[in-house]
Amino acid sequence: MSEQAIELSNVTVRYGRNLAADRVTLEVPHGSVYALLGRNGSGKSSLVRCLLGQQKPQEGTIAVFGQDVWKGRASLMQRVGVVFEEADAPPEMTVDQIAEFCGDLYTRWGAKEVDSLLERFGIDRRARFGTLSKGQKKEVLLALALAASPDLLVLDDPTLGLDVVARKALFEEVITELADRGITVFLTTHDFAGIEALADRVAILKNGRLVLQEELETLKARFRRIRFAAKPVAFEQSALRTALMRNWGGGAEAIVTNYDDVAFEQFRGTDAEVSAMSLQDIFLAVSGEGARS
Amino acid sequence: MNGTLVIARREIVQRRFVFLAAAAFALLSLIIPLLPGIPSTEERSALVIASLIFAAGFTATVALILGGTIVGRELSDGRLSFYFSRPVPAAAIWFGKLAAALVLIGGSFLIVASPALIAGVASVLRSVTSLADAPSVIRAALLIAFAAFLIAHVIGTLVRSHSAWIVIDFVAAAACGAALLYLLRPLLLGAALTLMRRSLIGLGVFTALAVIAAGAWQLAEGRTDRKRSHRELSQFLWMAIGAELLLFGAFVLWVTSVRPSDLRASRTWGRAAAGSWAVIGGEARHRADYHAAFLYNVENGRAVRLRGIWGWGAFSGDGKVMYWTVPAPFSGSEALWSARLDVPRPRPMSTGVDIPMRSSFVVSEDGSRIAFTDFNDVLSVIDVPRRALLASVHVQRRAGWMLQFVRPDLLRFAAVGAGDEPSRIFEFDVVRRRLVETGQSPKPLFWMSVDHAQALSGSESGFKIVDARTGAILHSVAGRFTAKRFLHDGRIAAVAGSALELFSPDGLLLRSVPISKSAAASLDDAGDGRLVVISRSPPNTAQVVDIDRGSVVRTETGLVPIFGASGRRLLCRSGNSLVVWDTATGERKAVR
Repeated sequence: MSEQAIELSNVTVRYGRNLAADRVTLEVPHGSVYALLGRNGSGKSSLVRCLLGQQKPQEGTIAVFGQDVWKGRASLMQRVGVVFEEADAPPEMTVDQIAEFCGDLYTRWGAKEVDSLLERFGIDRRARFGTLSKGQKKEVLLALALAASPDLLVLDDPTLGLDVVARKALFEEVITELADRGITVFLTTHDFAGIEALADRVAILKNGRLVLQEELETLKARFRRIRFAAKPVAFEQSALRTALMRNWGGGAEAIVTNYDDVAFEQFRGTDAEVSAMSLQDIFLAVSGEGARS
Repeated sequence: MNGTLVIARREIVQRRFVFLAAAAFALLSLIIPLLPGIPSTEERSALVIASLIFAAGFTATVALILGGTIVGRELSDGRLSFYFSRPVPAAAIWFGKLAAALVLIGGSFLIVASPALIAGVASVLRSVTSLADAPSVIRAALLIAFAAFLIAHVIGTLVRSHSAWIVIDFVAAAACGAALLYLLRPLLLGAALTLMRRSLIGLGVFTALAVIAAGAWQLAEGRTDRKRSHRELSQFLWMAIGAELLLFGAFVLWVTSVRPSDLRASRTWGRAAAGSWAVIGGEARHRADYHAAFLYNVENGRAVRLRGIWGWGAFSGDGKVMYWTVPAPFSGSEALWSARLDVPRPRPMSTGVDIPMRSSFVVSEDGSRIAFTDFNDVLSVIDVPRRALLASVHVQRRAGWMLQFVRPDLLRFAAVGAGDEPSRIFEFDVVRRRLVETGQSPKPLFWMSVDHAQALSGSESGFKIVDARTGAILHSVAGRFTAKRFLHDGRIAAVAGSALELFSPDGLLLRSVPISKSAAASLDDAGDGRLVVISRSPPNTAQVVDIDRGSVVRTETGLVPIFGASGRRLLCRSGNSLVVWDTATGERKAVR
């Protein structure tokens, strides 16, 4: 059995002349919580569709649990739960009908789990799917995804449309619980605060290219913001690499991508302040305008 | 549960309102007989007809809507991912949706048509029309609905994808349509209406299967990608239809590659009065009702295929040219084609002249002119090489016309009356464009002398030699003659029981040659003083009579010379085959 739950190798997706994903290679270990980050239109959803075997990339290979997802989609979906960014269930079906429909298709269907989750989310089971709010739709689809007892849960921007309470519940209860059970979670999100405490690994997609992919802890350890009261001399020649360098007041601000104390030693005498960065700051530094990707 | 069934059940449950709407239409048809103006005796018929019309219309509408939305709308709305996120194969998604559509279409038809089915659709249809029976009406309505579903599915996918591929689809559809017409044309020209109908049914079934397979392929390879789904559907469909047309093309090529030996000899045309060319035609073996025709040289066995011959054909008197007509579809006319026969290798050529559909024409002795009457009873004479209408005249409507060129500029024709009405004889001067009635004949004049001056008029008690121009009786010959004809030298040969009798042009008996007793059906001139007597009884027995020696020199059985046969080698039907029979040696050579 492959050590990776998901393996993307040189995946390229094009829409006419537009490049949605450019030779993306990434690996998601079993039991990890993996966050794919990127701005709108960066190609996240295209990659999600590809890794679910719903769209064929122009180039590259994708394996889920070691199996080619394009060829083995139908059987693999027994082990994969999915919640898309846009709720895709038929709007005229009631929640009960949707649950019944899904129950007929999965071999590991947990009807009680659906009941419990729907009750927990406070969803009216007789309501037509189309009449539910955006957040409720997400919750229904999440309940369906979890009821299939998946080994992999794919969430494409799951917090979109969720209120603060539901968002918090999703991250702090649902995903944490899944992670504890060893279920692999692959998600795309803009909710950096929510994912920061949960993700094992993160990847950042910029204009279709994967500019970063590593353990979140390592990432946070090597990124630093350094603010100089005056413009530093020969900073460019130092061993520190910058993702961003800009004027800050009378001095300068640098986002360093390989911070270590030894390399910083030569600037110790200058009026410089080093601070840790949040995932959101790192994301902005890496994928924002002016970033050196 | 099987994925296909789960999908099908879901689709049916989602669209169950279709059955409610169908029930409403069924109730609506019950109201129709109550409308004012419908007599009580016609109430049942009104109910059945209304119910059938509603059923057909409702079902076709449902099929169109289902076809356009069942995949296309979910694809364009991005909701197909709901299915593809489940452990269900793409084929199960497609066939589940297809099965649901069939249930919805068939079920709604049954519901709407239930009043008609209960009231007795068969008996009402029998009383209203003899053209259609109940099973065929129901079958046709369901087939049309199913075809509408498939077509709407394809169009729905193509239009909703907003892909530039639709231009390729348009070009491919136009190309396939043109190819189909191109391939059907030879069958149409071969009068193969049954074969065309069967071919179209076969092509329709294959196309329906191709669309069904293309739908499965579309979902398997396109999945939730709208544009790719369109592209996969298009590629599969056009390749399948292209392959279908290639196969059909190969089939048409085989059908049309008929050789003279393939003819079933059910229809033959005749032999030029001079020269060695004949035209043979008829249905071809193993090709249903496909007709083919050939110019065939009985001396050397050379055959020239005449494509598209369907209407009428005739040789010039000197045997140097043959004309025939080829239907020009949708124009109401036929194109006149010709072949020069005084060259080593005759070649069919279009004359550039069109004549009205189904006009029987005659050709002048030298082959330069043709004359014909059309449905408006207009007699026209055309100079073919110059493509010029020389003259035309309106003639009185009669039961039939017997035209002949006396000279290229003089046309004689007998207007055959209905029943016992006498035939009226006219001459039309082509140069002066003057029509003159020259006489009458109580009987149609079928047998003409070579110089067109005299004709034979037959009756049970004998025959009369009449003036072909005036119809005046010149001489009468008594006897029970079963076959008669003028010989090239003006003498008259006639068969009466067990004798072949020769008469002078003025009706005097010159010689009586004893032959085997027969009911002669025809009398053919084999040249060199030989006549061939073909008898109906005993059937198809040919006796070659040497009229100078006064004896039967050969007797053959199983031979029927084709109409107008003359010369030493006669083209004959022998069973289901055509043979060239040498009257001098008795040799039979199969036509190949």
